[in-house]
Amino acid sequence: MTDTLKDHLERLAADAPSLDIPADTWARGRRRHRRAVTVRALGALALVVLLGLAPLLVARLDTGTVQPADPSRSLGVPDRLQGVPARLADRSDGAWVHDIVTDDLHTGVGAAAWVTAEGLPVVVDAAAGGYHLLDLPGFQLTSTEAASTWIGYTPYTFLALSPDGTHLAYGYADLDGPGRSATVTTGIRIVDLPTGEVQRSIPLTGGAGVAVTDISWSSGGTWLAWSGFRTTSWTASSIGGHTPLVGIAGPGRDEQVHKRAPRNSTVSVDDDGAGVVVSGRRLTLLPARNSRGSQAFVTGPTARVPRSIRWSRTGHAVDSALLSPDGTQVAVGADGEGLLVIDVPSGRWRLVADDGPDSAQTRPLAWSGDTLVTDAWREGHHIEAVTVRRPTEPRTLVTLGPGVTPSIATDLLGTPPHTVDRPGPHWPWSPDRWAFTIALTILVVFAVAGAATVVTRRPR
Amino acid sequence: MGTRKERLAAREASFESFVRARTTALGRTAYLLTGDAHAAEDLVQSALLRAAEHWRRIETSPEAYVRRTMYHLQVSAWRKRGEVREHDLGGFDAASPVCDTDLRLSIADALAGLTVKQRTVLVLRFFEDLTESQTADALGISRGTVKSTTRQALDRLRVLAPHLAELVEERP
Repeated sequence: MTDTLKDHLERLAADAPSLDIPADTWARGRRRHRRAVTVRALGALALVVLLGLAPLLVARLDTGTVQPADPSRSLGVPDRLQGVPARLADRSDGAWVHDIVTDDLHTGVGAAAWVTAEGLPVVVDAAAGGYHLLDLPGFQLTSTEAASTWIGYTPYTFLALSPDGTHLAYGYADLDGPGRSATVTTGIRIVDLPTGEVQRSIPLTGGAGVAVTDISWSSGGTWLAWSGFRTTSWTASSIGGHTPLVGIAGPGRDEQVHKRAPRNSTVSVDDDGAGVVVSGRRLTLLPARNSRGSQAFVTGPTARVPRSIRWSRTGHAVDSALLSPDGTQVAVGADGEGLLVIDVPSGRWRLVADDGPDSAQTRPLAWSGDTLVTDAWREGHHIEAVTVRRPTEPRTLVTLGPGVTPSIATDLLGTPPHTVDRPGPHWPWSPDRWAFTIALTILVVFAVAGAATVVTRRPR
Repeated sequence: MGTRKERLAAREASFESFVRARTTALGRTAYLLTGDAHAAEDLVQSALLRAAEHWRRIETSPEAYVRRTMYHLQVSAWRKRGEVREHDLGGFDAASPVCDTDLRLSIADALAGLTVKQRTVLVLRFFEDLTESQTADALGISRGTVKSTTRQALDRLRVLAPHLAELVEERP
């Protein structure tokens, strides 16, 4: 009987109207075929590219990983300081362009501070290891002209963090008036970082203004030593004249002095206001403010002042020097020589860290008991600890990223010196990274689409 | 072998020949599956478009592919309606007490009273002459589902069109 149902169905089917099949069906089908082939090919290509890029992706994503700061952590110096991307230091009309650069100076106690290769001040706070890019009021390198004049081969520091990390000293240059008629007021400003306020300004006069290129604090954070240049002209568009100066400034209004010095001189001061000026191979002790006269040490056979100290075996130039807190020893970083400690009363010297065959460079930063904290280029750039009495292999404290020559809050290192683990910086994404991510997303979409096409393909 | 262009031209000719030869037969099945001339046309056009897309693979037996595609499109249609529950007609399923020949439903109207799933299974079993296994395979459902759906479809046909009752004896 079901055959009869079939007959009814066939009769019904026979009544089916004739169908209109579009003439372009074949062409449309071929277009769909080509699209599917293209998607599959792109998917396969995306898969291959993804597999090839996998190691790079992992490395790239890792750099952006930021761990949350632990508020219970005590103050400390991070064991790693990373460089700041140059794109964040773009300027326009003498002002920082990027929003991440802030004029809110309330960073809390600082652990490290430096100026990037583009002239942007950076403070890393001691509580969480956060990176603060600061628009310091009147900071002399904010001016494009000043930056192009002073930033160069010589590794000037431009600013200094006090040993306890509470204060930041830097050179300022306030331009008043328009264009060529502008006059400049220069000096050193001290910012109280826990409050974010400028605590003190120390005017420095001479010529058209004094540019401060290096600053350091005494070990107790009471005196400042600085070196720089006296200019003959200083406008928004040009700076002329570069007479080298060194100076020290005490806590009192009248406790400051500066004098002309040989080119490339650096200066250090102790808590009594006694300083040591380093000029190439010449090392001069400035008197404490209540003393008279000065004592000079000259290297090599050409000694012509009170006495010669034969501490330089090769006669290389002295890079830097640092008085001990009690003023009885001077730590000297001699280019090509190593780290030397000179006993001031006796004139005896000894080598506490050899530069070695790899031509390391060492710059003393702070005394911590019988340990010297140094900035050293030795198989990379590090902050190191060197024992003075029993010379041992230098111990790495902080690993420094590219373009990081920091001033360290050395009191926070403790005794013996040690550092803390802090999360790395988290910078806003660059246009390159956005483009990379978008391209990656497109690749993933094609890979998924290609895979889906293959998986869902109906078997014949 | 010929050039690629010649091979493509040959495939297009083969496709056009298939369309001319088989559109009417395909249209009949589509009409039974959908019960609507426009829907049948859409169904055949969609299946032929897919056939054109994959012609190189199916060239040796295109009709099986096209019919299978039509069934699957129908399956998709009822699965898309899966969220809508099919309710029994209840009182309305009862046979009309009046056996007025003029009021009797035609076979077409009776088929229209079935669900898409029931209608498709019925067409495949009684018009396309597929076995339960072949029907289950073609629609991607179990053989048990085919069996139960067929029974439900026939029961409903008997209710909707009592005059067809003797025509719809279930196949063994």
